[in-house]
Formats: sequence, structure tokens, C-alpha cells
Amino acid sequence: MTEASSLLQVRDITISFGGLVALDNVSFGVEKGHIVGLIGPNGAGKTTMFNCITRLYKPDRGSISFNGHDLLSVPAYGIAARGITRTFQNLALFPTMTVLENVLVGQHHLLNVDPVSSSFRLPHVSNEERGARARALDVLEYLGLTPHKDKIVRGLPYGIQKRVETARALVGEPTLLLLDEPAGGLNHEEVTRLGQEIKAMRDRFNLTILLVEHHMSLVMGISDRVVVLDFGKRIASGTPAEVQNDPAVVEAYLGVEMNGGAANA
Amino acid sequence: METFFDQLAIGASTGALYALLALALVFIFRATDIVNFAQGEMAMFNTYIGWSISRPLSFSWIPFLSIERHINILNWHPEVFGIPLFLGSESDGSTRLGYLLIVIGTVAIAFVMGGLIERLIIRPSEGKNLLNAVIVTLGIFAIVNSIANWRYGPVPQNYPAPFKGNAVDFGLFKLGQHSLFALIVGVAMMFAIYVFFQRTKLGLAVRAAALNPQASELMGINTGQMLTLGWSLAAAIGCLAGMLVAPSVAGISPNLMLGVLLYAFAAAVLGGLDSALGAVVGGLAVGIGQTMVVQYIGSEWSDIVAFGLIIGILMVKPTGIFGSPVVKKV
Amino acid sequence: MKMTGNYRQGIERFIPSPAEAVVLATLLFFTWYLYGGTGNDVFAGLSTFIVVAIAWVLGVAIRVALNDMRWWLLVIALLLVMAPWLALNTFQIAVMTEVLVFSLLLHGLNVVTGLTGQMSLGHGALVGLSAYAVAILVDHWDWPLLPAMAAAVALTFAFGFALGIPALRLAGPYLAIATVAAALVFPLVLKLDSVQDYTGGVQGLRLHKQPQPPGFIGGFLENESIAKIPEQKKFAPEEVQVKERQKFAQATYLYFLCFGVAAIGTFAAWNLQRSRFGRAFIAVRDAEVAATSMGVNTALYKVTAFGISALYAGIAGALLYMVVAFVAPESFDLFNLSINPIAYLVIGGLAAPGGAMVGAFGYKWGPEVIKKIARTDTDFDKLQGALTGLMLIVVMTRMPQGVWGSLTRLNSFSWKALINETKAWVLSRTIAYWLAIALGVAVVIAIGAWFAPVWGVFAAGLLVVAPQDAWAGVFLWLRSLPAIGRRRAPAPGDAR
Repeated sequence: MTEASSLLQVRDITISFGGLVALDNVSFGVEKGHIVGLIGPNGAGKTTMFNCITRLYKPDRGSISFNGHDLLSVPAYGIAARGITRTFQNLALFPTMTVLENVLVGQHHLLNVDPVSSSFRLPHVSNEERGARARALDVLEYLGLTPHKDKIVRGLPYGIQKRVETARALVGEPTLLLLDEPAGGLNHEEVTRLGQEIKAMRDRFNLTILLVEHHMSLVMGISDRVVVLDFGKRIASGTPAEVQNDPAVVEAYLGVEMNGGAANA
Repeated sequence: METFFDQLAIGASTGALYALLALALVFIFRATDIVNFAQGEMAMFNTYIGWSISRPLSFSWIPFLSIERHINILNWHPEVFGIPLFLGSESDGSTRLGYLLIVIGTVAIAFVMGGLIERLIIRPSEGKNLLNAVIVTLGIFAIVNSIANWRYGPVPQNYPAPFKGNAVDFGLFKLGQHSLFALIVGVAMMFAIYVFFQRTKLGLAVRAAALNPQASELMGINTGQMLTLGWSLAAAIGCLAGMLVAPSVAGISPNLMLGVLLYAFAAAVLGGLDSALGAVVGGLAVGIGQTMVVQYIGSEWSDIVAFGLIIGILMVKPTGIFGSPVVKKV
Repeated sequence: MKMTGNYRQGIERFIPSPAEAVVLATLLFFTWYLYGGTGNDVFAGLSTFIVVAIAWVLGVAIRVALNDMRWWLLVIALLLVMAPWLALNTFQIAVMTEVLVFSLLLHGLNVVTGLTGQMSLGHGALVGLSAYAVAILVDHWDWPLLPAMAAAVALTFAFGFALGIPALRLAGPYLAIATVAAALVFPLVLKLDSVQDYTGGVQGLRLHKQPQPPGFIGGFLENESIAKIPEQKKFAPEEVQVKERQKFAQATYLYFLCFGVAAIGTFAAWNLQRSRFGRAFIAVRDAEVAATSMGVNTALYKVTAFGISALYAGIAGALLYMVVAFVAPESFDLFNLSINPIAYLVIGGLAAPGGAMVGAFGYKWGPEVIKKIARTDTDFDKLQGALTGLMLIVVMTRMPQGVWGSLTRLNSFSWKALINETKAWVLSRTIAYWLAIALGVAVVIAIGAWFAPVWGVFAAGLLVVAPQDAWAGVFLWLRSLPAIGRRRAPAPGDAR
């Protein structure tokens, strides 16, 4: 499964925080166009993995390549320009901005006017800004956020904020989209709908999606492949069916309901 | 060489006062993440209240009570069955009992005022962002300073001191009585603060509330009360420092604590804003350093060295020497 | 800063909104006060009323036509252009010039503190650096003024950029303290013996040749100045009058020079804020990690913010020297150019170019108005700091967006909501305590007695106005205290 043709290739990633090994020799690949679920009990290192891929953390060992390029030599702020954007587990929106402005920041790496011409709003600046605005409005429309576009993010309902985060990640024209617990705080029907939406999103924007999620039904329902982490180690990977029947996985989740309605801790 | 040790002793005494005020800053910073720029002015104002108490008072302003007697607490000589209650008496007729009463009264007022400021001014602005809180303390600074200027005028006033006799000779060095007193009180206060925070349940609760408000709430600690207590204590300590500073400079004036506060900042930053030990070490270091600079380099350099030190230390160690590093959360 | 919006329909569009009413009332009161205060120039006062009225009508017309709140900019620009004619004397023109210079400083401060969230309390040092650089170049090396100013601005810009690099390492409160230290060191260094040859020590440096209005402009301005000659000099000898005219022409010329720079500066600041750079600055302030993941090089942006704000501070400093024609270490004390700017920026409204303008206006004119009020009571002058402080606290606790922020926010408010909000505010227990404390302090001040019994009476008064459970006894009341405005657990979305 770790063929060289994978879009994202994670090899032997190890990272520890003061003695605690958060990720231990984790390897996996993500095929172009796939939805890959990254699951595991709490503290398994899923979000840490996201942070390594987006370079917020520097792994002690291992390599990550994306589209054949080494990601570890790219600074954290260069990741978005390589085509990887993400959402955050505990919402990291810009609370004092409006929804539209948040989504505009998501396009930061796509815009390249210089500060001096920006200060005087030269014609090419206006043009670029108009294009950015149009793209942002498109994405907002697609995610049904248009009625909220001029509202300040702080104070919006949690579910809306989650969607704004998705919009902000989506508008950056990513090849690989990292979703960190998109179903957090949603009820059962909403989760089912979210699954459909993620699939539709992939098809519409030609995305590859890496997904961290607690809702087993969601992950198993939409993923092409699933990678299971436990205590920083990869204990299984394969299609959802394979993983579900893997004894190591069953053991890791012992006592935790595997189907639907799992605790979103 | 003798002057060196003299200066060292004087520096330690001034340093103890800086350390006290720095401790007050550290309290507030640890409890609320606020750098209290008004700390010195609060102390100055409370010191003025002490000064007012020490003035001969006349009650005649209450029309229906028209008591014509003038009362001067400092010159109070209480007797029980004709036996003087307290013997210590200065040549000008003031007593140490009177001074003690003034100190107790002033510190009590400072304690209440500190709490009120937290409750009424700081709390409504809390939780928005750091800038707001700092601006609010600057606001308090401006208000207190200008009210003091307005009420008391810029001219320094004499401030009572309990000990004003000749310098005490320790052989190696000589130290003025008031400086010695300040040093002793400062060290005693530091010890008391240490005991309070490390050895009492209430102190533990204050620390817990500062460290992790949510968890403390769950443990049944009223964090709101603890924050108020933190501000009250800080105000009281600052006030004590102010009362010790006033006699050792020209007297009390609205700008009494401005310089002291800046040195206390230097001390707090030197030690790390969240470290009480750092504040004490920093205070002594700054105090001694200041007297040495004045003695051996020149007085115009003392401020430059102090503030240069702040900047220099922060450049090398961004959270001071004893400060805990800022954790960047992802 | 959202100012557009289809917020009113039909005939209502012709009625000023609450925000507009507030601003116009303030403007009217202000002009009335300044002119009324002099008592001898009714016509000048009247003309101001007329100008404001015209601006209003014009503004409402534009607002109706464009359905846009941006007409305020037009009103402000109009009033600013007319300022030299509205001013009663040369001194007022000079104050207005300083307002413009000061607004540049606030724009710069806004970038670093308002947008990027790095607290700088030491911008006075940057202003001073620039002012002194000009002064030394002109005074010591005989540079012409203009190149000297350009060099000083470039120097300050570079210095600010360099300053941003160590600032990266400092977390909020430490940065605040370090910048305060920088602001404090600056005037002290100027007074050192070793640099006195250059800086002039305590005496400071004087600019001997301010820029003169070129021929025809000068002539025009001198003609315009006739109404501005003070009453007592109207019948003075011709040469005195000529001198007064020249002074007016000079001041007006400087005013318009600064007006030009400030207009460009404001325009640039506003555009920068609504460009991708402004958004990135705010993103860095709001959620640094998320900004990084969106492709914002946070370190670079923080340093750039410092650089930009230093550029503005440098321009302000150079202009200040040109306008005041004098620098001395005293001008750069902690409050004057370091803390007051940030205080008035906050009062005016952070993260909004309009806030910087309002702040600059308040900073220069607030003291003037207070001085006027204080004419009868000289002591009142000393309470200016208290008023500033009170404003700061009220703004911070009750309207954190500042005057400008509340103004733009007010547009979406109905009168009813406003009244309800005010009522709730007054009725809240916290405000009852505020009033009680204020009352107590007022009584104590009025009596002029600061001793213990008064504080006892004060405490008793507090008990009287305490909430109902006070009647159950002092201790019950004391126990209930923590319930007032209990510390709120931070919501997940709250910015720190």
C-alpha cells in the first residue's frame, strides 16, 4: 500500500514530547482521489499526525512527501501553497472577522500583490481582490453559508463555525484536504448528511481527503481506506471492512462501540 | 572599601522595597495575566491616605458634632490607670504606637481598595484581551495620579518614620535606622508571603485559582474571591512598600512611586513576571545594582542601566531568568 | 469596518441615524463650545454651524444616493479642508496641524497593536528618533529640511523593522514592558553628556527655518488671514499686522502640507487594512497557528507590522519637528507620545482608520476643551488625567470597539434597543455599585477630608446601597459579593 505513486507518503514518522512518544514509526500513504480515515482512541496521535503533515510540529525522524516533494523542508506557512489545507479540531477561526473575511484569509497564498500597491489600491489589486471575493462567495454558496457571510464569527453556532472552517480550507484550492473531526458536536442525522457532503466535495473539487474522526459510522461509510493508530503506533490499515475485522483494532477499541453514535469526546 | 559595603547595605534595603512592589506585580500577573501598570500609583495613593491619617485632625467640619478637639494619632499617648501604654516616643512627641496604628489603618484601607478595584474595574474588562486589561490599568494610573496631584499638589510632604535616629554601625558597614527598618520589614514581609502561599490552605487556594481557574472551580474554590484576594494583597503589599519608601526620599509626592514602580518592573522582568522568587532576587539585584551605578558611574546612568537591563534581559531570555517559558499551543 | 448596508428604507433615509445624530451633536457642541467660549466672534461661530449644516445636508443626500455610510469621510475631509478658515486664530490652526500629524502616528500604532496585536507602549521613542534625526541632520550637518526628513523617515523605518525581530520573541506583557523601557530610556540617553553636542541636551534643538509658503500661495493665504488677526491687534501698527498675517499664512501652509501627507497616509492605512495584508495581520492576532496553516508567514508579518508602524511614526516625528520647530527630551516622556497615543487609539477605536482620526482629535482637543472648562476653576486642569483615565476605563469595559467602533455598530441598532440596553446597564448591580463608589468618592473629595471616619461613612453608604440581602446583615452581604459579575469562563472562540 505504500507505493511511490501515492499523493501523500508518510514514512516512519516518530515524534516525542519530553519522553512521551506521540507517534512511533508511523507510515502510510494516501492515494490521489481517496478519502482516507485516520482513526484511533483518544490520545492515539491522530491530530499530532496532522500537525506533522502541516509542519506545525517537526518530527524527530521520518519523512513526509507530497506529490513527490519532501514536505519536511517546507516551512509551516508554505504548506498551503503546496496544496494542503486543513481544519482544526477545536476551531481555530479568526473570531473577530466576518465569515467572508475568514474565507478570504484562506486564499492568502493564492494572492500575491505587494503591500505598496495594496496601500494605494491600484487596479490590479482591485482585480485580484474581486476575484478572491468571487471565489470566496462561491465556496460559501456551495456550503450554504451565504446568509451568514457578513456576520462576525465569534458568536455563531458551533456547527456554522465548523462549516466556516471547512469553507476556509476549501477555498485555498487544496489538492489534499485534512479534516480534523468534522463531525464533532453534530447529531446523528447531521453526521449522515456530512458524510454525503464530504463525498460530494471530493468529487466536485477533485480532492483527496484525510479525515480524523471519532464517528465510526461516518469513517467506515465514506472512507476508501482507513488507518488505525493506537498509542502512536499504526496498528492496522486497509479498507473499512478489513479494518473492522482486524483483531488488533477490536482490541484497541474494546468496550468502545464500533458502530454509530460513538462518543465524540 | 567601606563605602562599598555601605552602598551594598543601602542597595539591599532599597532592593527589598523594589522586591515588595515586584512581588505585588507578580501576584497580580499570576492571578490574572495582567501587568498592573497602576501598582505604583495605587501604593502612592494609599500612602497619601496614611499621610492624611497621620495629620492632626479636626472634627469640627461635622456641623452637628462640632468637636473642637484636634486629634493627632502620631502624638497619641494612651494611658491605663495613669501608666503609659507605650513608651517608644520620638523627640517630636510622636509615638511608635501611633505609627503602627497608621500602618494598620492604611494597609486595611489599601486591602479594601485593591479588592474594590479588582471587582469594579478589572473584572468587567477581563477575558476580552490582554491589551484591554493593560489599558484599564493605565486608566487607573492616570486617574489616581491626577487625583493625587489635584488634592495634594506636587510639593512633597513630610512623611512620618518610626525610626529616624542616627545610622547603626555594624562594623563592616553603617546603615541608617530607617533603611534598616525597611530592610527588616521587607524581609519579614517576604517571609510572611512565602508562608502564606506555601503553608496555608488559603494561599494554596489562591495559587490554584491562578493556575487553573476551571479545575479550581470544580474543586470548590471560589476563583472570583481568590482573584479579589490577590488584588487586595497586592495593593496592601504595595502600600506597605510606599509607606517605607516615602520617608527615605524627600517625602510623599504624587510621583513618589513612579521611579520605584519602574525599578520594580525591572526587578519583576529580571526574575520573570510569574516567579515570586525571581521578584525577590530581581528586586535585590536591581536595588544593589542601582546604588552601585549611582556610586561608581554616575546618577544619570542609573535609569538607563535599569531600563537597558530590562530590554537586554528580555532579548536574551524572553520570559526573564526565573520565568516559565510561554507554551505555544497548537 | 462595515459601513455599507441597506439599512433604512423610504422616508427614514432622510433622517439621521442615531450614530449620525451623535456625531453631529458632538461636532455642534464642540464648535459651539470653542467659539462660544471666546464670546467675541459670533460670526465665526455661526459660519461653523452653517458649514456643519451644509455638510449634513450634503452627506444625507449622498447617503441617500449611494445608500452608503461612507459619506462620513466626505464630511470629515470637508471640515478638515476648511479647518484653517474655521479656526479662530493661528494657535488653533497649529493644534489642528498636530491633530493630523498625530493621526499618522495612530495609524501606525494601529497596524502593530490594533491589527497585529503586538502591544507597543514605546512608540514615542520612534517618533523621537525620527524628530531628532531630522533635527541633527539640519542643525549639525546643515542638510536642507526635506532630504533630512526623508532620511529620518527611512532611518526610522529600517530601525522599526530591525526592532520587530527581537519583538518576535516576546510574549504580550513582556513586549509591553520592554517597549515601556525603550520609551523611558530614549529621553535619558538624549541628555547624556557624551551626546549633548548633537542632541543639545535638555535644551533640545530648534528649527530656525520652517518651510515658507511659495510666493503666490503665500500671498493668497495672507489675504485670507484678515479675519484671523486677534481683536487687540486689529488697530496695531501695520508691521505688527503684517507679521500676524505672515504667521497665519505660515501656519496654514504647514497645515496643508500635513493635510496632504495625512490624507495619503490615511488612504494607504485604510487600503492596507482591507487588503490581504490587513487580513493577514488580524489573522496573526486572532489565531496565529491557523494563520500559519493558511499560508501566512507569521514572523514576517509581525516584523512587517513593526516596520510599517515605524514608518508612520517616523513620518509623524519628522512632521512634528517641522511643525513645532523644536524638540527636547521632555517632549518624549512616557505619557506624552507613548502611552497617550495608545490610550487615545483605544478610545477612538482599534483596528479602524476612523478610530485613529477620532483618537487624534480627542488627544489634541480634549485638553483644550478641558482648559476652557477649567477657566473658572484652575484646579480642574489637574483632573485632565483623571478624565482621560475614566474615559479609558469606560471605553474598555463598556465599548471595547472604541468610539468609532460603537458608531459604526450603532447603525444596526434601533433606538428601542439602545434604550433597553442602557436601562439594563443602569439597573445591573455592578452599575449601582459604581454609582455608590463614585458618590462616595465625590463626597469625600467635596468635603476635602481624607481621614478614617470619612471612609467609615463611605463604607456605611456602600452598605445602604447594597443589594437586598444586605438587610440580612453585613456578613451575608459580604458572602454575596463574589456573585457580582462572577468570573466568566472563557468561551472557546474568545481571543486572548
